[in-house]
Amino acid sequence: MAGRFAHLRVILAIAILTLFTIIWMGMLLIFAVGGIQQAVADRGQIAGGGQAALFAAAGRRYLPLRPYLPIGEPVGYIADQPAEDSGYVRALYTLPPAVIVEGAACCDLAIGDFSSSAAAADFVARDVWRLSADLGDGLVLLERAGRTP
Amino acid sequence: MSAPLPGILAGLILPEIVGLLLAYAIYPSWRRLPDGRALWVLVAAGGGVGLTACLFFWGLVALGPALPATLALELGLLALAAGAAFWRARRRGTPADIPPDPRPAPPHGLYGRLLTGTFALALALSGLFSIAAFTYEPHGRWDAYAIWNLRARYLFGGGDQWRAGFDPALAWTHPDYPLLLPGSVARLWLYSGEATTLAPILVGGLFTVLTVGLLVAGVNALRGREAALWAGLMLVGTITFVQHGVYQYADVPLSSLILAAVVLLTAYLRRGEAGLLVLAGGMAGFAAWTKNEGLLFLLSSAAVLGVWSLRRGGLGQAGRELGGFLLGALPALLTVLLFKLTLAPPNDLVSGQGAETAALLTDPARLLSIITAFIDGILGLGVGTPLVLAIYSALVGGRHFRAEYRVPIAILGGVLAGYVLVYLTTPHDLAWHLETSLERLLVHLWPAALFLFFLIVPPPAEAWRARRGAASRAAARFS
Repeated sequence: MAGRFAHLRVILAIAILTLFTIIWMGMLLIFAVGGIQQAVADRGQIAGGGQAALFAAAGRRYLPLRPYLPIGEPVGYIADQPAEDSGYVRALYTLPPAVIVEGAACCDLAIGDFSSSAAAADFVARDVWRLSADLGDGLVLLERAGRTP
Repeated sequence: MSAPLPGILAGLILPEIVGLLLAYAIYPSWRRLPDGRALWVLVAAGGGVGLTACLFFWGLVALGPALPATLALELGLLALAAGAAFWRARRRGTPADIPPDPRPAPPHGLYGRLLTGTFALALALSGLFSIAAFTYEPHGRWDAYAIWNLRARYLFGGGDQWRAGFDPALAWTHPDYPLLLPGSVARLWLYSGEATTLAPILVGGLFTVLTVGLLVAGVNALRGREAALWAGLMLVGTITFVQHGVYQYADVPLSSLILAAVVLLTAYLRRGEAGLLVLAGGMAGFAAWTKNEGLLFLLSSAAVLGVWSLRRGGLGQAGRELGGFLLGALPALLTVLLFKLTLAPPNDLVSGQGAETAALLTDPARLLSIITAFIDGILGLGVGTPLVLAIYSALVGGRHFRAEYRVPIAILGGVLAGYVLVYLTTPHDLAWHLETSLERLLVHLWPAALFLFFLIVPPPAEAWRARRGAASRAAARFS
């Protein structure tokens, strides 16, 4: 009797493992198909969306700043977008060895990353910053007013 | 994407050759392990990447990020490795006569074909998923471009100013994290001449494939082919593991090096060949150069091995075994020391300790919530794989436990206890810290845990044969 139970236990163990393997193979298939669908969708909208396009656009936007950035001195980053939508991390990723810090309390120089040139001009007009360089499309380098160059 | 490929391939092949030569020089008896040559190639790949990442950092500190300097150092290492392998080949005497372990028959017939086919299909599906994910997220997930690849960009593109990547103003990007992964990526960028996404993708993919390969080859060498295929299936089926492989985080490289160290250490404890112990130490050292958690693994390994040796053979044996293990870890350990003492800012978890630490340590509610989170995390890993394996193990019986398995089990237990301690004393919000990191910490130990599970618990056909054998013996006794 005990031997039969032991037999049944082994059969049950094997059945559970086999069933589980079939289930996760199905899930792996769903993941693979989902991944391919997303990859194809991203390729379709490569100009507007997708991570590769986002980082490529960040390269085009921020790289012209590089000659203006100081060496060995942190630079602030100000944007008119909420933190989670801002380009801060992509700017940091694009511009090494520049050290870019989110916010502006730290520094006498700051990157201004605005949604338009008008928004950048508006910010300069009402704050303690003056324009150091205008790279167009709302991207500016700002200098704290009163800073000795 | 194709222009930098030759440079990247050259940068990947060189560590493999260095690894093969050094792994042979340290342990020339790979062929005496069942299918040991596969294990040799896989250990060499992980070790080669680890060693070149250490050398890259030394070169960076001494000479700055330049391809000629990196190439000269690596060709020097290659010559050294070739010399060591040549010396070993000439000096090699008759290897010690170690009787082979009894191995169950490999799976055959329809079951064997089904098992092999299912494993191949699982590999193909996870490969498809990985390629798709690399296509739509070529820069990886958040930690990849905010920590690991970001650091690589400072090492590669920083010129004389590469140290700027460790500025305290960037504390939120964890500049105190060790540099095996960023160093390997930056090294490949130097070889290819540009910061292409192909480099981190290939490094991430390499370590994911290495982990699966090491698990299968390790279980095959020490337990047999059926258990090896099931172990590989369970790892590939842990979708969390495959996902972390494509995120370009350092967690899968760390899990790969932890697994390699555990496999080599278990093989040493079984066979007593010192070369395996030195290589295990080397892999544990490279784990410490991958993540701070790898340092914890190295500490746990050294402590458990020391206590085990002391109890088995006294102070002399403990000194010899610990010495051999730490000798292997030395190149990485010196690199970690150089980094931590000269460049890395303080770690947030360490510097955040203060007067309230004692209160945190003795808060039972906090400990309970950590343990609950660990149990939830372990049982839910993948699609509940650990729970299913626990049920399988309880039902199937017939375990093959050997005394020396206590060592790797205690090492992994020590690392888990360390993780609990870190959570207990974390200066961050506990719920947030658990939510954002626990799954990755479990991924570190999961391949090594699967390795030990399939060494101990018989796979289905073997369990079935053992059960039938027991039944027929019982029937013979009664007749």
